[in-house]
Parts: sequence; structure tokens; C-alpha cells
Amino acid sequence: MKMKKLACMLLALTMAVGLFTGCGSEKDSGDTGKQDSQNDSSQDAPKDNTGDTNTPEESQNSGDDTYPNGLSKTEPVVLKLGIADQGNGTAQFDAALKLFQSMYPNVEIETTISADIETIVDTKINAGDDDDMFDLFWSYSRNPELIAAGALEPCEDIWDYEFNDTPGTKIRDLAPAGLVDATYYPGWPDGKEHVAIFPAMGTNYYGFFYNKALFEEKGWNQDPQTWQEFLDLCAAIKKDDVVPLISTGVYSYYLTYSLVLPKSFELAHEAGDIDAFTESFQNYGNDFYNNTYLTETWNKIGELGKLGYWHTGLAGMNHTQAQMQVLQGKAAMVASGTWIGNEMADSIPEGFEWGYMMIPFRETKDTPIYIGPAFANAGLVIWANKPETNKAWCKEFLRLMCDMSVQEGAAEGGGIPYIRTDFADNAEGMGLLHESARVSLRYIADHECISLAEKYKSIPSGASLAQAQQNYSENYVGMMMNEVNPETVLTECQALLDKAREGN
Amino acid sequence: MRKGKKLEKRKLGFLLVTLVPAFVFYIIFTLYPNLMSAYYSLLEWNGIADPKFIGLKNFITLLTDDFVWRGLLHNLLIMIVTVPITILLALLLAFALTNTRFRENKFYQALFYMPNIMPILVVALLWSFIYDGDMGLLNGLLHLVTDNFSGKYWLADKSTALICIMIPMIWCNVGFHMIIYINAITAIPDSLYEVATLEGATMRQKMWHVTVPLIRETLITSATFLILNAFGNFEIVMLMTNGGPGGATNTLSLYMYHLAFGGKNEGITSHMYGYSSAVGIVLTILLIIIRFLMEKFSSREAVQY
Amino acid sequence: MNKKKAGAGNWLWRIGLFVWALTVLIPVLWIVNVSLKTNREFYQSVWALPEIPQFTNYIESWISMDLSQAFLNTVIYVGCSMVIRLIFTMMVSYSLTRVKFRGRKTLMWLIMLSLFLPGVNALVPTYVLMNKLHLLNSITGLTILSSVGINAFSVMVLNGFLSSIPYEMEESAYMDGAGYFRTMIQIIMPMAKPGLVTVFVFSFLNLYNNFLWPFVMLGDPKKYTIAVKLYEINQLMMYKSNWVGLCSCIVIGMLPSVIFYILLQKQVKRGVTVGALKG
Repeated sequence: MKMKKLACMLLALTMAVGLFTGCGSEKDSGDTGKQDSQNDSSQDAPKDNTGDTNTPEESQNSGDDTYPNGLSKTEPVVLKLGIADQGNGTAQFDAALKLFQSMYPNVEIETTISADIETIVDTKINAGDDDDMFDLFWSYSRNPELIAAGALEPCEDIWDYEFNDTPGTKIRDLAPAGLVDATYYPGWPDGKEHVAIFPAMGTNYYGFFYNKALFEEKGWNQDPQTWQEFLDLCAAIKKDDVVPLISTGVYSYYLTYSLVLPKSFELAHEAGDIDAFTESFQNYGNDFYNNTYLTETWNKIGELGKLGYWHTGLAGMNHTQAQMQVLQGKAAMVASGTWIGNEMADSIPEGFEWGYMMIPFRETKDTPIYIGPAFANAGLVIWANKPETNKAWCKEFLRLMCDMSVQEGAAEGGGIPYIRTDFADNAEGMGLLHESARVSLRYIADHECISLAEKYKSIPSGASLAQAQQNYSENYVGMMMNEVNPETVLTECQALLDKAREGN
Repeated sequence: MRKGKKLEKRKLGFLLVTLVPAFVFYIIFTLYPNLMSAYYSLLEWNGIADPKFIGLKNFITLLTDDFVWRGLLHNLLIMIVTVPITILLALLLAFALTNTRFRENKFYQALFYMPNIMPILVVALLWSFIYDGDMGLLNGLLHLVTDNFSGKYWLADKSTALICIMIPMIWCNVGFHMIIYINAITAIPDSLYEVATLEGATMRQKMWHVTVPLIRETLITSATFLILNAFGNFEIVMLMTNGGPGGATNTLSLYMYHLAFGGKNEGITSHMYGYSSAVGIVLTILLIIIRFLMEKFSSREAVQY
Repeated sequence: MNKKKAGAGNWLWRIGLFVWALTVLIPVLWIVNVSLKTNREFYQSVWALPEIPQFTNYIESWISMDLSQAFLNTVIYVGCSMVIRLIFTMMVSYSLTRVKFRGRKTLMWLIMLSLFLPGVNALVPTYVLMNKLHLLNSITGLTILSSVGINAFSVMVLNGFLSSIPYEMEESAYMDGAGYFRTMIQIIMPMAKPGLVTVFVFSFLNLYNNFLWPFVMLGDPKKYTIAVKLYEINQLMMYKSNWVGLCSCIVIGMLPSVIFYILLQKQVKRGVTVGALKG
């Protein structure tokens, strides 16, 4: 009887709360959401202005209707931002938002932060309503399609903006070597190259991560220079009863960007054939899959499998499980990215020290080692079909993200590698950066690695492309384990791609 | 005569009030969006560029797409294995809980419901750890009997992966269907069981001759749900193996999802809404056929009674 | 019910139930166990017990995921939707099973059609529709989307129960001059209580765990429900391996479902006794 009463009361309560509170007040809460962000900005404004270097300039200009950047002080603007909450956290974004709102109170920012922002972005893009679309948003796998359709705003002009905190210095002037070039994309409707993703969110790289302490203890070579030296290293590791290599078998892209893509370019470079290879790659050419260098890359990856260097259980492991194997000392090296230290921060055992290397596929030391950058494929982009004012403000936001204070916040909060070289001189800032990022940046600088971004000039539209891609990624583990002949797979994929190229 | 007419009028009024608003909203919120997606199946559209009308080309491509046929085969296997086992287990548990009076039954009834409310990610994670070659529970248990499987990664093996993902599917679904059966069984008047008991029927006889025929309708409904689940549920596959190893667990709905939303940075990178919708249409037609066959089959059964 | 108990057979049933209980209990305990560990302990050994149970994990998760707001949103969304859905289900199911008219079967097929449709492809058209109706980014809109109209699962489940009630029941009611509405509400529905409870449990589960569409439709994290929060933390897991946080959120998230189920299931028993008395 008691339970019955309780149940009835619960139900009645649910209904009552639901019907009265919910449906009635809910519209209001929507509005409060907006007001909150406005209130935040107005509260923050006085606090932050005191420490802001730009304020004196601004006050000199007061009376004018425009900020030093030429944008209106009075025109109210609402920007919609879609931000990814990923391995690096949102520290950098939070810092930039705070700075932005203190400087530009007339610009209101509505943010959606999510770990799965891409699903929201995808839906909004497909829905086709430009008003509802984000102005500035995190985007990755869809960029080639968006660029080809002219849906993104070119933003190479940001490279020529001056830093907010160091007037007179262009952002371009402090960019790490090769970064500016790496950001230019082909495949725009006008046939020229533009920047779609401005790498304000930092410079992450893929590669292989290991426990430095363990390597030192066992005396394993931490810096193999050639393919042969790398094989020797693996043999030494295996001899000590540790599995040399692991990568998630569930998400093939970890291997794509850590090894497959950069290494095929490395081999093409070694053979002096890089230009022709790049051209074919970027156009999904008639030897996109079925070419010497990709075949050779896969033969080498398969050789590692044949020698028993890949972990045999990797097919069923996601990236976390694979990374765990290295933390536990069961595997020596894992394919991952510079964010790994931050990602695993809570789980790192005592005495563990991050080390980073890129597997060399070259035969001699004469040609460079290639690495896969993560920033070239993923980052913040601006939606083209928005008012010019909105787009200008988005660029302003990206400019502020390059400020030293924001970069420091990013390094501290999320271990995000910097995009300005004077950050490296800043010992304090470097100290904030996570060890996994620090060691990889050092490796990349010491070895003068070439970062190879995945870029496409044209994409076939036929449905057979999906079959080619599906067939390719499905055979990853088989090829790694030397159970499947890479040549057969690549020929099959090429046949499917050729169908897609003909429009099927 | 007049009374009959009045009754007809009241009936019509009742039907208008109860059915019309419901169906109007149903058409707007459920059928219309799906009709739109049926229209997409005639397009070549990546969601961004202008859609191109290509007629039935997607369906022609689909016929020669090995991944579609393989996905279908995997779905059929999942259906054949999981549906009967789930129904049987759920029925046994429901029957046991309603026809025995063990002290622990009340606790069990709440406990058995729990796999349903666990987020799918946790189920996937949990079973991944059970199947793990290195620290998995399964190998730990097998180790007590034999050493043949030590270090075997069950999900990494093409020959065991599919069966391995079926087990959590069954495990998740049993509880929910058990609840439906329990509620259906408690709706059966006790007198029927008493008669059976007086006639000296055993537990097994009671189950097959009293319970099962009386909850037939419910069993068919639940079988329909399970079949739909066997075809439509891709989350657990996506989280446990993402279709691997080497496509050994890739199902039609997972393939369809990857076509529409991309493989998130890997595998299929281009979004193909048109093609994905075409696969969806084929799946819909197939499910309607299965349901139609079930109806035929079950009504023939009913005649026998 | 059955006074005579066959000894051996009974023990077999008991053992069977116990074995199944273990397969459920171990995972549930495992999740609770993980939720009390530190992440470091989790990575060292997945199955081991925590050295010191970290009950603060729950508090941390509650605060960091802002679960109070999410709970409030969930109560509003799930509460409203369940009530509205139940009313629609009751009316549709009653008319389709207990009132004879032409085209019943066609309507039932129309309803069942929605079960066969692969929902993912309709995500984009639905979003466009909701956008046009200005129902995006609001819990009201979400409630309307998930409750108004017909939920095929609920209707089918209730149909199963309604069709097992003898037809003489309402014939005598009509004889007594009762209208359709009165017959439905006062005579048939009390008898179909187990069915209504099943629909309620099902709707609760379905709405409480519904994440993808609310996630896409809501946008504003302040409006997220528990399921969307859990989805968020799941997705975050791709980038930040905080299993302990996830498991503590899950334990918190599972509690209302279990309590709700236990309370509702009590109603089934009562429904039957009432029905038996009347019958």
C-alpha cells in the first residue's frame, strides 16, 4: 500500500513538474542562456581591461566608431561558434573568449561546445540554413568537400595580421618553419590555393610514442635513422619480450596519419618522384592506390607484421586500449598524436616518461623523414555564406587566439603545441606544455622533418569511392599482419576508384 | 434502427478524436522526414554541393556493391542466432520469476532489467574487456579448463568476432523482453494455472501449454522488435569493432551510417547521403517483407488452435 | 500459485536464475567498482578492487558535468513526453484493437511502417522540419517531437495486451449506455494495467536514454538531458580517458531508471488482483 501511494505521488509529481514548470518556463530559459553570455562579458570586461595591452590604444581612439582593426564599435554582432572539446580540452578557447569579450563588448558570442561537434555541424550543413549555421566551427573530415563546394571562407590574410600583443609583428613572421605553406589547400572553386583552416588551435602531430624510461633502462635505440636501424630496434625490443609496436585496429586513421601517408611520400621523395606522386595523390589519380610507393609502404608495414612486431590483438583494440598497452609496458611504441600525454594524464604510472619518434622508411640518411600533421586536417574554419562583418570578427577571434597569453593557457590547460616560435624561447611557456608535446616538437625540429598534409584537388563523386575507401581501411589489419597481400588490395581499391572516377 | 445510427455517429466521433490528431502528427513528424530521405535515394548528394538527380543509379550501384551483400549476410546471421535465443531466455526467466516463489525473485526482477539501462558504450566497453586476450575474464575462465586459448584476442579474430558481438546483443535484450513477458504472464488469470496444476501438469507443460499460447500475440510483437533490432542496431558493433576485423562484423546499418555520416576521419571520408538513403530503402523493403512473412506464418499457426 | 513443488525441477529453475543473475551482477558490480577507483588504478588492473574507495568521484562527476541542471531538464522532458505519449498510445491502440471499422489493418501497417524505416537517414530532414517550425534548441520542441503523434513500439505493445481482453467487457458496457470514452477509460484501461505499465516502462527507457536527436536538436549545453550528458562524456572518452568519471556518471544515471522500474512494477501486481477480482 505504501509503495503504491509513493508510486502515485511520484507520477503525479513528474506530471505536475513536467506540465507546469517545463512547458511554460522553458522558452524563458532559452533567453536567459543568451543573456548569461552577455552578462559574462560585461562582468569580465572591467576586470580584464586593466591587464590588457590594447586598452590604451583603444581609449586614444575613443570617440571614433571603430576599433583599431577597422570594425564597428557600435554595430551589435552575434557570432555562433561550434567548438570541439577534444583531447586538448577547451582551455585555449576559453582564454581567447575571455580576451575577445573584454575587448569587443558589442560582439556577442553564442557557443556550442561538444566532444562530438561534428555531428551537429554536419546536420546544420546538410540542413542548408545559413542563418542557423555556425560562423566559426571545428571541422575535420569534411573539409575537402567543403572547400570544393566553396563553402569555407579563405583566411590566408590572417597570416598577415599583426599579433595583438606584439604590434608590428605579423603572425606569419613567427610561424614555425613550413607551417604557413602546410596550411594552403588546393581544390578551391577558383582553382587557386587558399587557407581553409587557420591553425590557431595549435600544431599537433601524429607519430609513435614510447616510455623513455623503459627505453633507457633496456638500452634500446631511441633514434633510429633508417629502415634497417628501425628493424634492428624492433628485434632488440622483441628479444626482451616486449611487443615492439601497436596501433588501434578499430580506428585505422591513426595508422594512416602516423605511417601510411607520410611514409609513402617519404619513399617517393627518396626516389626523386615526389612531384608526380603528389599530383596523382591530390587528384585521386589512376594510380592513387596502385602505385609503387604506397605498395612499398604497405610491404614494409607487412614486413613488421611478418616478423611479429605488431601486437597480435590490435584488431579489436580502440586507441585507448592500444595506448594502455604502452602505459603498462606490454607494448613498446604506440601510434598516436602529441595530445597523448594530456589524454592519458590521469593514468600515467609513476616513472613513466614520454618519448617520441617517427619510423623512418628511408634507406639512407640523405633524404628527410616525413611526418603527419594533425592541424592541417582539423581545426576552426569560417562559413563563407555569412555577412562580411561576421567573417571579419571571426578572423579577429582567430588572431586573438595567437596571443601569447592564450597560447600559454592552451599549453597549460590542454598541452596544445604553440604556433609561434617565440613561444619556444619562452621557458615558462614551454614548461607549461605537456611532455608528450614537448618531446615530439623537439624531435621534429631536430630531424628537420617534413610535415605532409593530406590535401585533395578534386574528389570523385561516384558511390564507388565509398567502396574503395571501405575496402582499403578494412584491409588495414590484414596487411599489417601480413595476412593479406597489399598488391591485391591496392589493385582492388584502384579498380573501384576508377569506377568512381568515371562517375559511378 | 435509429439507435444503431446514433451509435455509428458516436463511433465516428470517437474515432475522429482518437485517431485523426495522432495520425496527422505522425505523418508530419515521422513519415514526412522519412519520405524526404526516400527522395534523397534518387540523388547524388554529399550534403554540401547542389544535389544531382540520378534516378535509380544508386540502386544499380548497390546491386554490385559487395559490402551491401556482406552486411546483409551478417545481419541475417545475427538475426538467426540472437532472436530465438533472446526470446527463449527471456521466456524462461519470465516464467521462472512468475511461477516460482524463491525469496530472491524480487531482487532478480530488478537486477535482470539493468543491462537495458546501461548506456551502450558501457556494454561495449565491458564486453571488450571480457574478450580481451591479455586480461579478459573469458580467458581467465577458460584457463581453468584448458590452456588452448591463452592470449587469444577474441574480437581480433575474424572467425570469432561476429559471434562475440552477438552475445552482448542477447545479453542486453533479454531483460527488456523478459519484462514484457512477465507483465503479459501476470495478466493471465491465475485460474488457468490452477486448473493445469490440478490436472497434474509439470512446470514445463504449464509453460508450453498454458503460458506460450496465451501470450502468443506478445511473443510475436517482441520477435518483431528483436528482428528490427538485429537489423537496425549498429551502435554496439560500431563501438566494439567498428565493423572489423577486416569487415568480419560490418553490418548493413553500420555501412549505411558510415556512408551518410562518414567514417569520422577514416574509411569512408566522403558523405554520400543519396547512396546511404538508397541502402536504407532496401533495408526498409527487406524488413517489410520479413514482417509480412511473419504475419503469414503466425496467422497459419493461429488457425491450428 | 502452485502449492506443490517438484523438488529437483525447482532447484534447476533456481540455479538457472542464479546463473543469469551472475552474468548481470558481475558487470553491474564491475561498473560500481570502476566508479570507485582512480584512473591510475583502473589502467593498472581493470578487474581489481580499489585500494581506497573514492566516493568523491560521484560528487566530482555531479559538479563537473552539471548534472543537477541535466536532471531537471530530464524530468521535464521525460515527464511531459511520457504523459503525452501514453495518452496518444491509449487512444490509438484502443481504437485500433477494440473498435471495429474498415481500414484498421491499413492504419496498423502505416504505424508499423515507421519501425522499418532506418531512422538515421531522417535526421537531416527532421532537423530541417524542426528548424522551419522554430522548435530547435528548446525542450518544448524536443518534447513535441518525441511525444506527439504515434510511437509504434508503444502502440504495438499495448495492442498485444488489449487484444487479450474479452470483448464481452465493453459490449455489456455499451448495453448499459456507456459512451466510448467512458468505456475506454473506466472499463478497459484498468484491465490493461500491466500493458500500460509496460508501455510506461518502455517509454521511460526510450526517452531517458534517447541521446542522438536531443543532442543534435538542443545545441545549448544548459538544456542537455542526462542521456545527452552521458553521450557527451562518452564522446569525450575518445579524447580523454576518464573511465572513472564515466562510470560514476553511469551509476548516477542508472539509479532513477532502477527506482522508477521497481515502483512501476509494483503496479502490475495490483492491476492483476483488481482484474482477477472483477473477472
